[in-house]
Amino acid sequence: MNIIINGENKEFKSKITLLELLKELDLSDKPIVVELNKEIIIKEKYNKELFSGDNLEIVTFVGGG
Amino acid sequence: MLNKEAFFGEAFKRLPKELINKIKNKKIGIAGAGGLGSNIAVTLVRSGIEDLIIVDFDKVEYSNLNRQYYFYKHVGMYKVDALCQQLKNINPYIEVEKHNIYLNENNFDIFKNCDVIVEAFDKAINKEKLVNYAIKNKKYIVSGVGMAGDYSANIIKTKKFGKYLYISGDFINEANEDNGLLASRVAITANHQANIILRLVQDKYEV
Repeated sequence: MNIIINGENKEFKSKITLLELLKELDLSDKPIVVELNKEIIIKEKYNKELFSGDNLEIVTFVGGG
Repeated sequence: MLNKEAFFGEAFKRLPKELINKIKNKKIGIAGAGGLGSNIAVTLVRSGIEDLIIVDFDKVEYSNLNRQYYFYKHVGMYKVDALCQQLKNINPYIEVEKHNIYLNENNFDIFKNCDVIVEAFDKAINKEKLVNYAIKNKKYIVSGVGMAGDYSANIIKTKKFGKYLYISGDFINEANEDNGLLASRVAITANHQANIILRLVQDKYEV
């Protein structure tokens, strides 16, 4: 299964939810915002299953202002 | 002193005409009056925005003068008061609703009547919370992410996410002890944010 994360192709052997993917990337506890196929996914919906070809943009908020 | 009508005619005659027509009655809410928020507010007022909500809990410190739109005389003042003074020195006829409070999930509704919310916090966790609030409430929000250091100005950009979220910055460079904040990159990011705000109030949704 191929998922595009911030413009890069990543291969996954089996089905994966968004939350599992964020945990794998060590991002689940970080301040982030996630866009899936041009729509923002709110935290309450991170259990969503991902599909091959999905396009994810993950922004990690960093301090400064 | 010029009356309101005469002032607007003079002060804004070089603005794009379409902007002047569409900007009336648009309310912008600014969360944080630091490096981003103070610079964004100044640009918006220079661009004819008349109706602002500004929220910050902090006072102006000497360490703010390297990048925030304050002067030596403002040190010790609440930022919302100092910024309001700065803005009224540009346009005396603006309406500013100022709140000297610490923003969190319990009072984000301060912004419920705003056309655009501006995320201009310092801390990453607060950025995330306000962005979540805006998306859940279907409000346009413009956030600033990554502006520390002295890296190239050309890596600072504005990107759109989903329908309501716009983020300006380099998306990487966090402010910390090794990565300080420079007026140049902070103001570039602030003005990236201001620019997309000025597009959104004209119903122009592409970055």
